[in-house]
Amino acid sequence: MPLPLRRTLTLGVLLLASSAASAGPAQVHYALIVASNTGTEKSQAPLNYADDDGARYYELFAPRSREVVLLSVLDAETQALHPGLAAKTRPPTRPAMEAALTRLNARMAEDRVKGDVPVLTFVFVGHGKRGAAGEGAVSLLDGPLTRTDLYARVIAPSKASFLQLIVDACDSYFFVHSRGALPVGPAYAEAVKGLLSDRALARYPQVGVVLSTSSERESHEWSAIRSGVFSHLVRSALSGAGDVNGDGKVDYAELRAFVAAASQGIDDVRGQPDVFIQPPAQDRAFALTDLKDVSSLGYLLVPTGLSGRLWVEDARGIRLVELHKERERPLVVSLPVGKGYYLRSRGREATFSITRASEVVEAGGLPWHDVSVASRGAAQDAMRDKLFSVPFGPRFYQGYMASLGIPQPVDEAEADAALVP
Amino acid sequence: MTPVAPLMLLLLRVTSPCDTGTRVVLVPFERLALPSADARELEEATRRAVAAMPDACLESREDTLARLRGSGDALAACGDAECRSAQASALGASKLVRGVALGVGGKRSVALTVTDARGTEARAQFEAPATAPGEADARAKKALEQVWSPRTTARATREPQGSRMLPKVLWGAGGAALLAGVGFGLASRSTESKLSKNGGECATAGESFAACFSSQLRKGRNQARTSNVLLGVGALLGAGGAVSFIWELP
Repeated sequence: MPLPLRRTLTLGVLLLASSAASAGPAQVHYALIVASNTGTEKSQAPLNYADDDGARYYELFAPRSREVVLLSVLDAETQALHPGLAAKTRPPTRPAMEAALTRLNARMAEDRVKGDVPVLTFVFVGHGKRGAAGEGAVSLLDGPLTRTDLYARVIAPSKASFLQLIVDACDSYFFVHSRGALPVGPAYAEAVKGLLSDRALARYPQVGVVLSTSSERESHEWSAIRSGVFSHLVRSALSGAGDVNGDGKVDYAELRAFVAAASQGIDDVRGQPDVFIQPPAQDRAFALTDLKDVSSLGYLLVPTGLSGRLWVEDARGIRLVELHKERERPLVVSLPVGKGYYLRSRGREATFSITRASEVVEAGGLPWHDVSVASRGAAQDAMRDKLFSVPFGPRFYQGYMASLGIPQPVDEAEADAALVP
Repeated sequence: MTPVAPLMLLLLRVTSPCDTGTRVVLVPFERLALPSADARELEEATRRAVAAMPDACLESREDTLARLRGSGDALAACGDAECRSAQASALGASKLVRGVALGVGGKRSVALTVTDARGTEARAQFEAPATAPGEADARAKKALEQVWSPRTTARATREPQGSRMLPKVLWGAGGAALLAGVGFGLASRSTESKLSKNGGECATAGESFAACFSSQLRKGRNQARTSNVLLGVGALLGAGGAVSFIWELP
């Protein structure tokens, strides 16, 4: 039996078993990923890694979703890195996107009839632009998709009980929010926080947003990881690195703190991902991802005592997860099954593989050996040295949330937990 | 003061029925993606399995908690086996068992680290389906059995290769002796067969037939005796190899 078919069947069985075992309404996940290197404006130089980001979002969501649609034109290098994926893609055009949405909405409507909770994650990676009238738009292959289009064609007709928007594009804030009388400049994301309730998004309390609002192209992509920096941070967090309280879920607050910690060491403002992250008003604790869910993924347990900047690369050289872990807590990250991996930190690495779903590999038992890492030039060195330079964990999270004035829910009291590292 | 020092001071104040050579301390589990009740259930299953290990005197959870609370802070988060081994010594334990209870991917599992006060460390994992109560005990026991013997741990750490040499040597020598014994046995049989057919080579010896026949007979008997001795030695060496193999099993 071909491996993909076997994996699909395995996931199907797992999902069936999950739905049978759980008593409450089950969340059913779908993802629509639109990734385009090209812009609609002549002034927009083609991006290098938007298609890579699309492919990696696909690999992130596919093992935990009922259906994932990828609209992208993968370049030759990306097709070589992701064999077989190109055959599953459609071009990132408006008709393809609307066809995908129609099919997904039909499936989600069926889920609702069954009593399930369908969750749609809509991802856009590519060029974005703010028009003269202040309306943001992102670039599809056949033209712009404006904020008006987003509300009219994606959000309003959606049958999802929860809709998660992840947009990694220049000026993407204006793709979701109307400008109004907002100030223009690097600080606009901060300035608009208090005005959100008056904006169009407030009419859709089931929608959560994760936006990169960077406006500098050079800060958008990082060749060392063949990815956009913001998307790399988001995928790392959603893989489990963002789970600060160990409950297996990564919610919007944790993602926000994770991105802040990862980019805090970057002195150059152009290198800092300017982000806007807001949970669905209907459930502010709604999780973007839950490691407890049945999936066809394996897991790497990074135990207490192992700390510092760590990243996981697969045999293709693709950096899947990156984090800077505090020493005093364990952490688990999810990884696709059937691959060999390198767990790396500065100057050393350990190899491991994950061969079956739900397998847990403990990093504490891996044999490490020294490696030399090639330098890629000053700009790359700066990103390599500064990104993830701050440890992320409960201490950072609590301090960060306190600095924002965001009250934190009282966690489950556990006297014993305080006694162990 | 080092992180270990408060624990050593505390140890002096704590009385325990276990002696240092057999005391095992199981630190309350950490947990990831698992409710505390489930984590506690898995910890208790592991405690029962640890208590059933040979030469293990498991400190009660209450005593361990009291000692940790009395130390004023949590155990330091050690980054290597040497540090964890020092913690085991500071706690007056022959072994320190740590665990992380996980609930990822729809399954419950435990990752265990068993640290010996002498410096060795071993890791084990087991899955524990929530749908099969009692299964956790059996799986915890099985996982611990694989890493519990200090000799196994030490061998895995210090002797990754070249262990169990004695049984291999004995089996090799025994096999060679058996082969030689079979060879001599066949030669003896051949000599006997030739002599049985009208005297074999001695048929043309004429007057010296009797001397020739006696010589050939003696030769055949020597071959048979050598064969028997070699077969016996081979069997003894083989048995010795089997005994030493079993003796060296963990």
